[in-house]
Amino acid sequence: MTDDKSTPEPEAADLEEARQARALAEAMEGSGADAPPDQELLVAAQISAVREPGQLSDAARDRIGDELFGVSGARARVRLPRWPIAAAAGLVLAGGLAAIVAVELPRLGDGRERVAFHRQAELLVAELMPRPTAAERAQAIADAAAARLREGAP
Amino acid sequence: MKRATLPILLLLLGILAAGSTPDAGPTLQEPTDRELFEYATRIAEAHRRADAKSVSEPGVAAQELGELLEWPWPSSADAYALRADLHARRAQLLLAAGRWEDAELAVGAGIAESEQQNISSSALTAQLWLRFGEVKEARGDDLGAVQAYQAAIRTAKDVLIQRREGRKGP
Repeated sequence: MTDDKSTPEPEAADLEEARQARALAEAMEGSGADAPPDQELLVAAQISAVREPGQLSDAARDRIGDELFGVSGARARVRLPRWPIAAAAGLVLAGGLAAIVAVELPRLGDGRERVAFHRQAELLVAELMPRPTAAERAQAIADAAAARLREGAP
Repeated sequence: MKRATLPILLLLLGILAAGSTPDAGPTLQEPTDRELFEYATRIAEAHRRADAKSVSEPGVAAQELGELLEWPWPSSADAYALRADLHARRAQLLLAAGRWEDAELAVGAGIAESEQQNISSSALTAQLWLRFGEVKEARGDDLGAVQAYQAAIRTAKDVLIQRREGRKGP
């Protein structure tokens, strides 16, 4: 109740505006315009219509809700349409996926390339080496030099 | 005396400068088969010791091979081939010891030396590029690894072409 002391009570103009909003909503429902908004959304829209002029307190808006629409606690739910939330969630998800694809795929690609090139290089080098170990290669050079020495070459 | 000393000193300096070969390193001027035999035998023994330690103490084995690189070596294609093998083996051992930076320095020194000695199209240089790729891979540089492997493949293919044409590389 302390809240009510600092906020103005609904005035005639507010109530009139709310009534007009209600009439508009009813007209929309009656006109068969595209799928009519549900009651809760209508209440939310109309409550927000009366909110602007006087910044009503919660209690005042409750009274308007009760009086005009017979809906108690109408202030509690000003529901957002679902599609922007779904769209935002979709965007976040798509952005996340795009980031993962952008960062990880090239790395995966590099990994596959790397393994393939490594294997090819390894096979070629092995093919070029007459002896498999460094010790054997060094020994072969020593043996060749020793053979030349035995033959008397400088 | 002072006037006579200065020209002599300059002459000596000139002779020394003309005789020096900065690219060749501490090489012997006239390598003989005996020198090559001794050098290659020493290196073969060191490789065998490294083989024994390559799993348990790869860092120690790399250190011993590194000491061999400090020795003077006979200036011949065979000696450079031995050195290229030493650099590659040392890099492999350092990699096994988890000393990636040292491994990269070792293999980089080997590649630089092979280019300096005009033996960049050799099987041993291809091996050095292969090791370089493995070092890059260990350091998480996938792109660098791929480039090094490509260099190894290119070099190896050059050697194969040379051999087919009858030219013999180290």
